[in-house]
Amino acid sequence: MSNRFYQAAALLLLAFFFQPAYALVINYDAQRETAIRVCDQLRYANDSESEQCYSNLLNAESPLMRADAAAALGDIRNANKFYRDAASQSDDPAIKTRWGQLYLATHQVSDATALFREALLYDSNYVPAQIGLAQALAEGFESKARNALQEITVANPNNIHALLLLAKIELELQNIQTARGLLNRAEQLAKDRWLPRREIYALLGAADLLERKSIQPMVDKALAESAEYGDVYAIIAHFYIITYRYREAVELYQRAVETAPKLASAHRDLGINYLRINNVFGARHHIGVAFGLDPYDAQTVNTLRLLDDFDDMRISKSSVKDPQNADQMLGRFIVRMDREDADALEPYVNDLAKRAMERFSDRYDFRLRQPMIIELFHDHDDFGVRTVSTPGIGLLGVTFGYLTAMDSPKARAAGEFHWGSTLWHEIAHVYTLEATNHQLPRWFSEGLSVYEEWNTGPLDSRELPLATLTAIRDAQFLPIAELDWGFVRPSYQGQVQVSYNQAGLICDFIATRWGHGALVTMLKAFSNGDDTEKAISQAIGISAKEFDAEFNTFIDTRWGQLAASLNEYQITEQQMMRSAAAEDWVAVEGYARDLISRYPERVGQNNPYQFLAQAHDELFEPRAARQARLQWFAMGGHAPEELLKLSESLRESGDDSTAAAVLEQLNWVNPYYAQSHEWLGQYYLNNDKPDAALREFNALLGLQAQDPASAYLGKAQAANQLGQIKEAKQQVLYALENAPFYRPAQKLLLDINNGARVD
Amino acid sequence: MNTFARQLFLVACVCFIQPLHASTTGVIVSGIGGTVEYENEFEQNAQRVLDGLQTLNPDKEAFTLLTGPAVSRESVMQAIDLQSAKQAQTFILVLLGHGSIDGRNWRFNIPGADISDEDLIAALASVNASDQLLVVATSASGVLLDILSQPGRVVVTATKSGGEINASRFGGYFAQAIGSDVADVDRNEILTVGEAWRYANEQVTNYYEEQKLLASEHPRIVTNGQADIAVARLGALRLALDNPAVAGLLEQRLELEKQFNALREEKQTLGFEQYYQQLETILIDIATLQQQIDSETGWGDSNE
Repeated sequence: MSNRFYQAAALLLLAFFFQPAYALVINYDAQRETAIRVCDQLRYANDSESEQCYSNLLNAESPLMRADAAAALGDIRNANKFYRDAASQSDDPAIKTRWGQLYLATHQVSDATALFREALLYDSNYVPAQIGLAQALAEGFESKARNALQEITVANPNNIHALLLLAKIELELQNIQTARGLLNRAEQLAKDRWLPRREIYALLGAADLLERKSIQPMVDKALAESAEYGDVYAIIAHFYIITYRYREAVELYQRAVETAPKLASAHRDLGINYLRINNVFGARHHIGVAFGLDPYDAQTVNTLRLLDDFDDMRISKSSVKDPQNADQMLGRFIVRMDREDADALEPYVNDLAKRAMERFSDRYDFRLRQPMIIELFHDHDDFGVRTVSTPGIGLLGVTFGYLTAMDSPKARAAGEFHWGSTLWHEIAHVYTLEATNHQLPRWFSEGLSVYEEWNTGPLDSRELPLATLTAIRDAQFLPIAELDWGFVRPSYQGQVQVSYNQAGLICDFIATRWGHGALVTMLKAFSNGDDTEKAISQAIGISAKEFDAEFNTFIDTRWGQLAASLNEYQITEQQMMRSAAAEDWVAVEGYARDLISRYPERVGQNNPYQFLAQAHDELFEPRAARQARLQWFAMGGHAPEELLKLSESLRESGDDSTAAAVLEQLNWVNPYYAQSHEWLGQYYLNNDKPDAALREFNALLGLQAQDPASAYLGKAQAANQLGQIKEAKQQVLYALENAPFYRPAQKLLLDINNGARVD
Repeated sequence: MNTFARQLFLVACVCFIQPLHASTTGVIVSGIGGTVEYENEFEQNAQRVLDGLQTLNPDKEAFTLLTGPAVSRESVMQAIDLQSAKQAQTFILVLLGHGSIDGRNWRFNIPGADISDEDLIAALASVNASDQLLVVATSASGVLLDILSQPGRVVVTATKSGGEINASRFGGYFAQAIGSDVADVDRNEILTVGEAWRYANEQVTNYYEEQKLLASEHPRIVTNGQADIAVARLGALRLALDNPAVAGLLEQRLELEKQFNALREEKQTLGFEQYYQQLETILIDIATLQQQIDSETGWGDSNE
């Protein structure tokens, strides 16, 4: 983990000792003491007396009131101390609950959760603590939050805070009518209790946004209550973000900072979202302002440091011509990556991006209107900050529209993921998001990217993880109209991954049954604002419910037998592994062949092909071992060590062309094997493919900083094959400049000098 | 410039040029392994180092290899005395195995009594060779850098300090460098300790990066201006140990090499065109001369 993470963590702790600029917090807790509620009302009315009012309470007799007053004044250090003092003297659950709220406000969710749980130990029915716990869960997008809040609002139908939290979740799930019901109830209660309604109006504005209505009426109402309530824009902008509409979100955040120039969180979010649309200059400005207002916000600090790292990244620009019409451009793309990765990876990124643009422009009948930005980070924590402003995320790639960011292969252990496939997946997102102006449900966006990985991507694999097969067996696939929930609010461990696979299978099924055109029709329907029900009906003429029935039949036919015998499969797998441990290779062969016949697509971890190949190795049957590895490779196997073994075995058998194909695949998993690039480069030279050879030697040059001579010689030979004699001579001089006694380079120099006419 | 960068700079600057006929003697010792795997690995590495060093000197008695039960504190000390007494220009001592540190002394783990840092100081004090190379490819060996470094002596260690106490991989990569031509980046067929160290260091770094492991060893070299000490001859030069005709041509090659180096020094001051024009002239001369050398030694494409 990088130092940045520790620094960020340290800064969060430091936040206790400083006073950051704060957004207005509306406190709906009816049990708050009257004296402090009086001060609250002054603050809600923007009355300058409010500060004095709270300050007066810092000397109150009640330690809880002193703590609440300090918290309201933004004096976190003293608030923390007062809450601790109060908690040492009393078992009142209100103390630990409000203390937990202080931790929530400073983004320390796990500590907050612990305090809410402690409050509930004092009184399990204490509603504010129940709400706090649900709020902490909601911060992590856990589906348990929704269930908890539903129970709380049933038991306490007049609790405004719970109603608003639940309404926000329902809006995130696009259950707009449910959310409106909750918000309307909350509005009436707030009115009756003389509480401000601006936050409720903001959420009603979000509902309008999701229903494609104007947000202005609700914005006007909120601003009429307080002209400085910039949060009205920021709250609504959140719903643009979760529907991937970053450009529109940026517009709202701009209005938020215009309305409330000292609202640090809005400057921060504006900066972060400027970055998502590649406005680095704007991002620098607003992140800088946010830092000035609140230097202890971890997201701000992380992003500021990331912007520093941007200066060390290399940028390259490319144009892609229309293969059907050389006079026309399909579009442009920009690659930004860490300098130490750039030489090795750039040739591959450029090659794949070009192919993807040609493919997706045609398949989705859409031309990019702006350059596509591809960013690769060799530090996973930089990628985490780039995407969610926080290190430690589990994703590989994220697309914000025209900008896609991902881990470079160096960010993870060697060969941990197929980076070519990830890049292909992300570029598919660029097309589907931009073709619909970001108006497509998450399941369809992910489904199309998975479908493209399977059908057009650089890896020919359709392996479903065992977790997905388990979900099939246990009938856990969601109806198509509810599939987004599997991504947004997963209800069991691993459901997000299962949902990716289900979405991919749905798209694959539609394309197989009704043709790829049906998917394009759905894409256009979504771009016109239709929901899943309508899009399905328009594309294939049946209802979502009828589709579910057809899809389930397909799944049952294709995967049902394997899913039903999954336990047996896993038992056989364990028997195979035990036999391997006991070095009973004949038994291993038998088990492996049985497993392959049941599930030939299984090529990932613990796949039976590798055990079969190892068994043949141990039994001194090299040809059979090679055959097993070839079968595995053909099904999409891509573990780097096995690919290396296979390529060596193929070269020993004289099958260089298949060995080259295997090493090409290796480059998409682990592109850092210099010898592989050297061999491939030489292979392409020997087979008169100088362009491919150049790509390999460029990559080799990027990897062999200490010994660049052989890469320069390869480039010289490729240039020579292309008839570029002057370039060949320059490259061979570079080679000899590094290794003056390098015989093959000496020979080429003498040949060029003697035979060729140099311009 | 930090220490590491300074070391790299020194290595980069001193790849050239040692007289080819300078005599070399040395001692190679593999320590106790603790496991069969380590034991075999250390012995194989020692044999590879010996094979490489023997290309420097046709005298088969010029180097002593001590492995397995032949290794003891006394046998190592005697071997150092024996080889250093031959008054060669270069003396090389290579220790491969496990090292340990007890808070006061570093120790090379061998059967019987270990060899301590103090033993090494005493043994090396009597070595009169003007060029000395000490390679300590063991854990915790970094502690020796300051203790054993002196003018005229290159010290190579597998670790940066005595605090890196895990078994090290450096020795294997160093032996790999000496036993093949992979590290001869300038292809002059003279492998120097600077080139071998640079290769082994790069391999160690790659290993830990690829495995996503926190590196538990950081190889070091202190050259004292001597990183051009040859540790192996390769290719055609290996075949030309006693050929006077080749020796004459090699002297010419040394002269051209000096011109080449002098030109490279001027790269920043000359313009791009001028620099590469002059470079081309020298490189063509070197290439032509190399063809003559190959003709004398019988070296051909099939040897590549």
